[in-house]
Amino acid sequence: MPPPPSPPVEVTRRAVLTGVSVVAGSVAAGCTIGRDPDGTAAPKPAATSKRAAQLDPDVGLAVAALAGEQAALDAIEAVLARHRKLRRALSPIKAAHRAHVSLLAQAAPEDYPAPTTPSLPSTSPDPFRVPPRREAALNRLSALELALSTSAKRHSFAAESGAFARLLASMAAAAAQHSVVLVPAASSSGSPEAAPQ
Amino acid sequence: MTPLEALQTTLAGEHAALYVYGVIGGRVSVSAEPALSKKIATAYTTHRGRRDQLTSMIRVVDADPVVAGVSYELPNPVTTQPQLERGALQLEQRCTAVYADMVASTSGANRQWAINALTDSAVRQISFAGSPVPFPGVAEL
Repeated sequence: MPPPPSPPVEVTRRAVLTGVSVVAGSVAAGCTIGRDPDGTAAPKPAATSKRAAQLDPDVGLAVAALAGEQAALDAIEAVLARHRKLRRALSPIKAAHRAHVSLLAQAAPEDYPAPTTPSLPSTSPDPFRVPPRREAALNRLSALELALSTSAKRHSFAAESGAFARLLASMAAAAAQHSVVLVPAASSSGSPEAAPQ
Repeated sequence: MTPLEALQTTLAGEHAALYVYGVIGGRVSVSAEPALSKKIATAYTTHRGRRDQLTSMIRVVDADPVVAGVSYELPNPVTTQPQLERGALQLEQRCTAVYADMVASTSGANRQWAINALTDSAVRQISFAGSPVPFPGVAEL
C-alpha cells in the first residue's frame, strides 16, 4: 500500500537555504572581483554589488523580493500603529514577513540599488496610507498581500537556482494565504476604531 | 531530481490525493455538512484536473506516466466531521510540499504550473480551517 505524498525526509534546512547561500556567495564573489588589480585597494561596494548581480541574476531577484517583503512589513506596522486592536489578527502575518525579510536579507547586498520598477505593485501610486476604518485597512492589506504574491510568483519563475525558486514560491503562497485570511478578519473587525492621534 | 522525476512524483501525489479525497468525500454528509461537502468536491475536481494535466505533460516528453496505486493510507482517522476536515487539510499540506519540490526541479511552463498549484493548495488549506504559515510547503523552515 503506497503512502500518500509526503515531503522527502532528506530535505534539511540547509538544503532549503542552498538557493540563498548560492546567491549570497555570488555577492561575496563580486567583492573579490571588485578589488583593484594590485589587490591592495578596498573593494568599491556599489560596483561590486552590480558585478555580483551580473554574475548571478538571482541577486537582483533577492533584492526585489526583499523590497516587497519589507514594504509589506512596513504597511503592517503602519496599520498596527493606528489600529492597535488588530494586533492579535496581524501578529502571525507580521511574524511571517519578518521571517521572509530575515532570510532574503542574507542574499541581498545592502548597497545594491533599489529596483527601478516597483516589485510590489500597489493599488495606488502613493505610499501605503492607513485607512481610518479597521475594515478598510484590512482590505487594503489584503490587496497588498495579493500583489506581493503575484510579484513573488514572477520572481520564483525567473530564478535560476531551483532551491531559491522553491523559497520564493513558498513566500508567494504565504502572501496568498495572508490575502485570504485578512478579508474575513475585515468583516469581523467590528465598528470603526477611533484613530489614536 | 530530474524534471521528469519531479513530474512523476507530483503525478503520484495527485493519484494519492484523488484516492484520499474520494474516501473523505464519501464520508461527508451532504445534508449535514453541505459547505464541507462542496469544498471536498471542488478540491477533488481540481486535483483530477491536475492529474490529467501532469499525465499530458509527461507524455509530451515521451515518457510513461506513473499509474495509481490500488489504495493509499489515509492521513489520519477520518470518521467525524472535524476529522474529515482535518484529513483534507493534512492532505493539502502534503500536496503543497510536493508542489514546492517540483518548483525546485523544473523550469519554464512546468515551474509556472507548480508555482500556481503550490499557491492554490496553500490557500485551500485556509478553507479547511488551516492557519497561515510563514513557508507553505517548506516544512523544514
